[in-house]
Amino acid sequence: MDGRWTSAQVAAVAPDAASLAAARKLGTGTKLTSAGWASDEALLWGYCAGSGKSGYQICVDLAEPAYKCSCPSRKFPCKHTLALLLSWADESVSAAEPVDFARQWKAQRAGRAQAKVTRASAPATPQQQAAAEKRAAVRDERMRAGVDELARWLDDRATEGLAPLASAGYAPFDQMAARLVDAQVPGLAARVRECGAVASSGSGWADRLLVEMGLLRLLATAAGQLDQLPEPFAATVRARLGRTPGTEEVLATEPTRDTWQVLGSRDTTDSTLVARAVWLRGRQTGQVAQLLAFSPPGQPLPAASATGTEVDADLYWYPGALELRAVLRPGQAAASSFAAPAGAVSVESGIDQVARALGADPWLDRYPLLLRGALVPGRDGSPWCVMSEGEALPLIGAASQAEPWHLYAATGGQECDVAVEWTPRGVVPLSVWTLGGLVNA
Amino acid sequence: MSATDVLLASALVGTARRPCVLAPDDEPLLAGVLPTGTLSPADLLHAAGAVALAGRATNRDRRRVAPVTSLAEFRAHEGPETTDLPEASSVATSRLAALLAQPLNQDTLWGLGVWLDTCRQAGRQVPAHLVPGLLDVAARNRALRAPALAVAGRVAPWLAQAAAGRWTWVTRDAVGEERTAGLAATALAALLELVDLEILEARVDGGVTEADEPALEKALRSARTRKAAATLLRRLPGSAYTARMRVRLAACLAVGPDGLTVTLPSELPADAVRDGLVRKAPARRGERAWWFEQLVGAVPMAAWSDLAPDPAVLLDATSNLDVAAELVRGLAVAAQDQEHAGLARSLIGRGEIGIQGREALAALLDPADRAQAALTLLVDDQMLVAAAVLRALPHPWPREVEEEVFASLLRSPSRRWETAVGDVAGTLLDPSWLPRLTAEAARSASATKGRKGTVRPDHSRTALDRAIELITIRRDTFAELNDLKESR
Repeated sequence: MDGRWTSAQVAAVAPDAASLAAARKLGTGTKLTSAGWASDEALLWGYCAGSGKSGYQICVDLAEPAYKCSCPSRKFPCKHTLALLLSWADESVSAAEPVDFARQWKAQRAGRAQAKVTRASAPATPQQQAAAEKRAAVRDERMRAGVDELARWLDDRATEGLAPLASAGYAPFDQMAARLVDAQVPGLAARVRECGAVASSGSGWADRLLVEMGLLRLLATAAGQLDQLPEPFAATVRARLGRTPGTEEVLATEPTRDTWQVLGSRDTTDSTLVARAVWLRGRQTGQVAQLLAFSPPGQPLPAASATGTEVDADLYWYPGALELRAVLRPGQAAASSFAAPAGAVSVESGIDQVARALGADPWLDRYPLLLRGALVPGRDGSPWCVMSEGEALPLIGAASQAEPWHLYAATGGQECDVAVEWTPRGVVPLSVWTLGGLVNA
Repeated sequence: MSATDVLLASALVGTARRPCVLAPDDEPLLAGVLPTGTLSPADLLHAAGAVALAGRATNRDRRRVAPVTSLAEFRAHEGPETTDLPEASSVATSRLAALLAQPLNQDTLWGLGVWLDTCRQAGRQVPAHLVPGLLDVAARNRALRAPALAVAGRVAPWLAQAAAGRWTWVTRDAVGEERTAGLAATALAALLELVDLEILEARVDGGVTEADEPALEKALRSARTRKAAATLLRRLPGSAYTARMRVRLAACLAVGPDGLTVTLPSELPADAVRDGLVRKAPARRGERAWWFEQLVGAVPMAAWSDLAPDPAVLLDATSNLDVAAELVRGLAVAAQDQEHAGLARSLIGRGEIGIQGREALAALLDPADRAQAALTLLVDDQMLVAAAVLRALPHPWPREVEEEVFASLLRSPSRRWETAVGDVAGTLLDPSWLPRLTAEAARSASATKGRKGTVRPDHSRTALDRAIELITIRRDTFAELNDLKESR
């Protein structure tokens, strides 16, 4: 393993399908020239002929990864960069000494990074500390007020009845959510906004809305008693309110060392952010973990560890009663492929795992499961399922996830290892391991 | 009532109008956890949250699911004679996966066609997880169906039976094949009683004998089977059908001292319609001329001998006729239906006949004639027709044909010919020509660069570039599917 990406990993950093298609076309022609790769510096560079007089200069810092191309495209990485990456993934780029422009770019980046570290590590003055404490106090006060207001609002809805909400549209929810944003509890605001969508979701809306509002009320009650809650659970509540500690703080905690196997990843989009969740499972500890990354739509997410690879590394947990969200310290050992994941369980045991996780974090809405089961296509209007020993979980998601014919074809209708993401409404398939190897959803 | 129902009933209209009273046994799972008695609004919501959590933790909405027929069981049911081909390598399948992920434009379809054909020739099979995507594409593109089924193995029918209604054409096409295979032994008359158009059309490709005539005459009566029956009857020179057609045609033709004269039919009687002649002319054609064209196409070559001189000679005399085009097109139909190589040879150069018609004529020629026809068309820059003829020319091509294709590429730098010559050469020229083509492209690129000092902009791609692009794809696809691709 020399750190070379697969073409699937390259595809994962593409901003859109059109860029990738254009890059494939560039790669087959003669436009890409003088490409080189310095594996010890994790630097990749090349030239690509464009419509201008001289070709574009492309650099990629593979460690981060970061991209630079002298073309005017606003897509990031641009098609030239993608073509270079594809060509490299295809083993068409040979090792060489870095050329000048690549070396300069790398040096500039290193300089900027150094300056940032220097700024961050400068000790805080007493004035700064006092200001920070004051800010925290104001913030806590706002949060308390926001939580109280939400609790009252929810109780009023229960007193007056949910029925009018079906025809009220999103407005009442959005107004409440906006006040919660002002109170700096974005986690609650997002949940309230989701309730608005549930209220307008057609048949069966009342059941679903009551569930969401019930869970929200439990959260508001817990948030109102934050000072009296035992610590790991208080951290869980804080995380659900939208107050997560910074990465530096997490990296200062005690890590868990294991061989972490990547079970799959899933991108979700809301109005302002694309979120990528990568699901891991430790081979020795059997613990599961979630790596989260965010980016604005159209911007690249960091290159995900490819599904089907494992890495021997320290994992740092975000605080909470349920250890799930985590970070890997950057720059650890390289990933290698594994043949089959360890620790698949029956659907029934999988549901037990979910029950235990819900016991620690009642507001949990996504959790990875590695199941030993068979995919069953939906018949006569019933949904697709993953099934073992008669117990079944319904599949949900986009068309290719809720009706994953390609996965079913790969399994041949037999039981195999299926990685899924559990959600309250059903499970989203992530990947399957068959005799023929790994197939991603 | 379950706890959920009790809670929802109050929540919908509000606790102000309907107080919520929860009994201890409403939710046995949460006995002792849930508050009981009359609930405050907050406790109603707390209880709703707790009940939902209990449901999530126990997978309360579970359904019974019946197991499915696995691929292994499906195969066992069919018997041991179905064997699997080895799977295509991962390099080869990644190209297929990329093609399936692309938008379905002409280039993608072309690439898929090349991939599937090469895969079949290499004796490989598509990995199972790509079969559904392939079937989806083939569902929308009929031409890809047979090539797709040829490399999808038993996975395709297994999936089709599991996905009720999604890929019904898979089983239908497979059954159609079996039916035509068994045709030779089955009496046509028995088949006609089923009035099965599909089977009758399949029979068009097979032979007919005098014994079939009564059954075919019967089939003329049904509008559904008329066209196929008429086509078959034309292959029987002695039949009553051809005699009727000959009489109708003879009424239009007169051979005088100053050559051939044509009188177009003034009406189309009902019995002629019953014999398969179509009344309504295609757009922008005269109705009477169209009837004449159909008559010419319906008369067997053998019947021409006493009507007019040999049809091949007759073609030379048509130039001064008003209906020369109709005569030529009619003869082309006759030549196709009756597989008349001599007539096809004389007709292939005629511009009145459409591309598809000429492609069919080219298929009738023997290889030497085909090569000659292709050469003539290439020299005349009739690229679309040349392409049709070249497609029917078996590989390897004669050296002079390949040279002429190459020459056409070089003298067609303008965009006008891009699709024609570039596509023809790219699709059909032997990949061993690639080095010569790239050398030529490099030479012309450096010539342009030297003159203007700029890189040639993208929109002036020449036929040569196009040919190189397509041949490269073919060469790489072949290498990948035959495991010849070495790591660079």
